[in-house]
Amino acid sequence: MTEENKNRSFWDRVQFCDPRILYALFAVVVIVFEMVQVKMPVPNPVWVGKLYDRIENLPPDKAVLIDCDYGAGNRGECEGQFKAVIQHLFSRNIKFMVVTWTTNVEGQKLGRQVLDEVAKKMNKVDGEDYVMFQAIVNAGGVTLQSLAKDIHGFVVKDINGRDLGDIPMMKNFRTIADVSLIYRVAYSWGGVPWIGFVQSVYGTPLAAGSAGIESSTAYPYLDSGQLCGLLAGAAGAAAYEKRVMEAGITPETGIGTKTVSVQSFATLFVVVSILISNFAMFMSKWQGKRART
Amino acid sequence: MSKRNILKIIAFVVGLYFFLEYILPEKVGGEFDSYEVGCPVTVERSGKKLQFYVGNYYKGRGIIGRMVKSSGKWVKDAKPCLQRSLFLKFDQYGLTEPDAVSAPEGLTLLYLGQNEKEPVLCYAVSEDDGQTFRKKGPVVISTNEVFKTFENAPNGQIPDRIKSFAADFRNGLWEVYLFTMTYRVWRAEGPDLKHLSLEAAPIVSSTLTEKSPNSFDVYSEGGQPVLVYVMDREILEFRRSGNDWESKSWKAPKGNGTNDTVYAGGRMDVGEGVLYLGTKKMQKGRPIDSPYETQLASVALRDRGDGTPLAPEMSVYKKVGASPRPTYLSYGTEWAGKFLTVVGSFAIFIAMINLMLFHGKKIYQSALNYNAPAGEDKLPGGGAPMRNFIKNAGYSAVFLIFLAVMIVCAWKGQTDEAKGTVWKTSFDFLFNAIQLPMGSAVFSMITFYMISAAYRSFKVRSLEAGFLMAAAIVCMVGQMPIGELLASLVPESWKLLQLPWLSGKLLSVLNAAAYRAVLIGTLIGSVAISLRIWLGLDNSVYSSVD
Repeated sequence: MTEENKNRSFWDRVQFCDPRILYALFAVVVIVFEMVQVKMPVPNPVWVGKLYDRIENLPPDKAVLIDCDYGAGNRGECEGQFKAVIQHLFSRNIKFMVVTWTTNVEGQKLGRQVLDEVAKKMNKVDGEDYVMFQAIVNAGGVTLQSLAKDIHGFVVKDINGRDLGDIPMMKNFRTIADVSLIYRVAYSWGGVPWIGFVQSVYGTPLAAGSAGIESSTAYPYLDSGQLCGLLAGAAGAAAYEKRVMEAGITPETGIGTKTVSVQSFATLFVVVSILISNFAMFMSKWQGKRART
Repeated sequence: MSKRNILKIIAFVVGLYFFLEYILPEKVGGEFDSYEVGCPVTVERSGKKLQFYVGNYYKGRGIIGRMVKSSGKWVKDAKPCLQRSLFLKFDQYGLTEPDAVSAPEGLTLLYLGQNEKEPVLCYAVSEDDGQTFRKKGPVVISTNEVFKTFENAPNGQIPDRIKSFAADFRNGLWEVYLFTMTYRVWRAEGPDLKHLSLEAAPIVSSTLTEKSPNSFDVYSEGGQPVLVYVMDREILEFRRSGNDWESKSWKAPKGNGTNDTVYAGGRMDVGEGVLYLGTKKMQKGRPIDSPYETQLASVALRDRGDGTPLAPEMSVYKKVGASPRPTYLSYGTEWAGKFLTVVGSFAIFIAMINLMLFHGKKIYQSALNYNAPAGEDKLPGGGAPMRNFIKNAGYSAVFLIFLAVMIVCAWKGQTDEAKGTVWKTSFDFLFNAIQLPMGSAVFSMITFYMISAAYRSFKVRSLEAGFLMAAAIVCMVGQMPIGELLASLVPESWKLLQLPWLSGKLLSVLNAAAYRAVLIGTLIGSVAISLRIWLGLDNSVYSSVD
């Protein structure tokens, strides 16, 4: 203990404790609850249900466009969202196209891993039931507009290097008119370009999946109807996984449900530590006042 | 001209270009009918069978297009033959319900001009079989010679708002039948379209039309006019018999679509039958007025006598799902998209070269200073040469090595044949075992710092801070299963104490309202700044160019 700390009161020492203690405690909480899975009730946000119902009612002759833009850092929250949605799409035999961006190579790699794994389990064929495009250079709204107008002219090849014209399922999907839903899954939902250049122009419904911390900026668009569904963080993924499982599509819930349990305790730890810190501040102030009087 | 002025002009031209793309797409031609097509009408002129139809770029902004029947197929003209006029009040919002009549002074196209007030019956005359038309203004109809001004009654003294109409030219006289909003049919007659006289009473004042017919047309048979309209998939006819009108109906032909509507306009005498053209509206999971889904025109040949179908024929002039390329300017936006993609690719390439140069230079300088005595070298640090080198250029070397390895592995391992080779395996290893975990680790570390920051700084020192903390805690816990667990302990009726409900309200009401306000403010600021740059008023952006 340093000389400075020795002179401090107990509550001051709590208030200004060594951050390494917090780090260690936090790590312990995460590790413990990662190892000991505690079953928690999964929340059921209304916007998750709306996306589920939307996918349930999609016409079978149109495709879904998925913008897969999550990375390693937010994999825990977004992978479950992506996986649960594609499981649902596969179960309904709705074809989908996955778009990724050159600015985020992880999105393509991680997305493909999930796609391959789920497609294998559900006996789906690349090129017939789904396709992943080669990563596109993202130049903002104009890119999305060009993509919407002419998918074949803009994307050209899929991730395996095949021309889009040679891919069986792509023969029927040429423009945004052939798309019944756009689903963007990313750390930040960041769908404003999608809204500005595609959703509001062509009327194609847009849904999003994002990290919980970023989801608050999506709420104005949900209310206005520009977003038709939102999976917010691991909780959103867990809620969707639960629905998919209840529908008999998968035998068990996935990574979202596992993550949300740990995240729940981590959040509780953060809240409790903030409360302790504040309590310590009040106690310290109170003691100071008492000493002065 | 200075570079700054050139940049200003380019900015202005580009801005104008996209501005025009937004407000006037159909004026520049191209596929003006990309949104939907309808209201076909046919006419025979100079031995050619012509079809006119309304194409929309936006909903409700109708423009008239033409098709010519050639070798049994309808061939569409690339450009519209008649467009709305921005500076003429009577049709500045678009054109609808056309009817074409082959008259001695030229092919005459009558249409309803849409404007901010009531629809106005107008006409235009063509001298080149409908390729282009010259507008002649509103048709003027009166019960006496006192004509009212455009603002009040552009078509003269029509007693009701026009819903649809049909026109014919027989025996040197124009006949115009006006179908009004109160489901009455009025008849006007005159030597030219600027001098038509309205009959004193409606010729059909009928409750037959309560269901609101969707089209209306007139043609001559045996020297007598026959009025045709469609209601609830039935084609109804009114034939003149002396001073009275007798009605007759037949079932319209059914199309293959789920929601087809036969359009009566566009009758054409062909051999023994009467040709009816119709628009077939497609409805597949979307509202009927969705873009790009209502573009099929069907043609059914029907017997003139009893109306039985003879030979249904389809005249498809826009396919559902066809690539929509609305205007020439849209090609520009596509081109701009591709251009930006190429520029973006170059930017990544240049960034890579820049990084390589930067780190290469660092390594090179460290190597030059490798044996320099401690304290005298140009680079910071000191001590043993190797330690000094690692300290100054170690990270750069690691970066360059991994960059080179990744490039080579990706290059060699990208093909299908590369599966299982050392290149592919190495690439996957580098990605899965190094890049992904490092990415996750960096992101996870942020959480630790956030906890530390929150612990030390998130203090309730004021009332506002108290509100902030309460909201933060409610939102954090309310969205997690732990919130759900806590809510289960609270009675159902105590909504305010249920954290998931409370966090939902905070996010969707308070947060949404506040965020919208911020967003609107930001966007107004962006528009203002864009305008300043566009109009060359903002010098700060380009001031350093010269």
